[in-house]
Amino acid sequence: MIRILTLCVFIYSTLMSEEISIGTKMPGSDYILKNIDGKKSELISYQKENGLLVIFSCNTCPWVVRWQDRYNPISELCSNNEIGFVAVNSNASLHESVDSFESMVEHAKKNDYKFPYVVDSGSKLAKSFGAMKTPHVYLFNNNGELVYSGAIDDNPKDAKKVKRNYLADAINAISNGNRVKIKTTKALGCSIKF
Amino acid sequence: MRNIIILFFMCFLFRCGSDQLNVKVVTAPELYVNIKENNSSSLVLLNIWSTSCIPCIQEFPYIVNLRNHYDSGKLDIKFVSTDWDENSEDAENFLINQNVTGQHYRKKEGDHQEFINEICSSWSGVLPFTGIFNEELNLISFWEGKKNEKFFISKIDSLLAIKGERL
Repeated sequence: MIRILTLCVFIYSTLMSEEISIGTKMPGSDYILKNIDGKKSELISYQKENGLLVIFSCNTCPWVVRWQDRYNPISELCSNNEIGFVAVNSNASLHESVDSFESMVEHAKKNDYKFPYVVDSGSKLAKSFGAMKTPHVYLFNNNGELVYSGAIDDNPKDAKKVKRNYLADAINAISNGNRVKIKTTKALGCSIKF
Repeated sequence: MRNIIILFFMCFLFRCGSDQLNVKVVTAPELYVNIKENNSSSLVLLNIWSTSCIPCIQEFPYIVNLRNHYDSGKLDIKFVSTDWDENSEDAENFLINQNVTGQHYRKKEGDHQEFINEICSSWSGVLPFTGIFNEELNLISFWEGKKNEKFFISKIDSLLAIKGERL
């Protein structure tokens, strides 16, 4: 009986890791991820001088669809501030269907993605981050420490009506060597399909 | 005689009202006030969903079926849609197709974070979200993501057992 319980706890903990907290070093930095251009690279290779922004995303989640008009401006902001940007598709159970590699390529083309969009096979990276939903962003500083986690801003529906630009504020703060004021935020989103 | 007819008419209206679907657009505090004012059940199950959330749609019938397992004195079920205003009709049509009646809710558009934290500070924002509250509307159990009917029944049974209710 004890063995069964231990096994259950082990399986549960392997499947569901706790979400990384502020200050944590970037997990899975050596994981190799396949980009939509076909190239395979370690996560760390996307990091630039001032840090790395990892966004868990997908092709079909309505919250992603609403927020993704902000992806290119954010990738540009990152680029201007020497911060890497990578969008990750961790929906492993949908990698044979709506979130297949081919669908990701098509989705990126249709939405004019100007940044890497990689496949997280087996949701390995999402599990190591403890990421649960899309879209969800994790911003790491130049030391690879998590400085912001959560939503892009406070209005998925309309970029023009955004009152609080959480992510842009955090990017600007670390680029200027300042402290990120709002470190974590929450928003409604789709569960990652492990 | 006139009073009896009026009383009969009022009862008829009330009965019709409870058999009909009514969706109120609310903030989290308004939701709590509204449920509390009208609650007479030992437990209240609050399910937060959206028509665009596939796992929400998949688990929805399991929750609706709970009406066949528990009488209204033991468990009240309230659905809160997070659909945007332009999808309100889709949300209501979905509820009608699922034979949902009575008072249910849709989240007022606006700040997600405030809504999430006021419902449950440990909720990450993943949909579906289910919370079970006691009569005083204190959250006593919650979970994120899709579950099956067996899970719901086992959870509710155990909470009713803790409260000393006969199953």
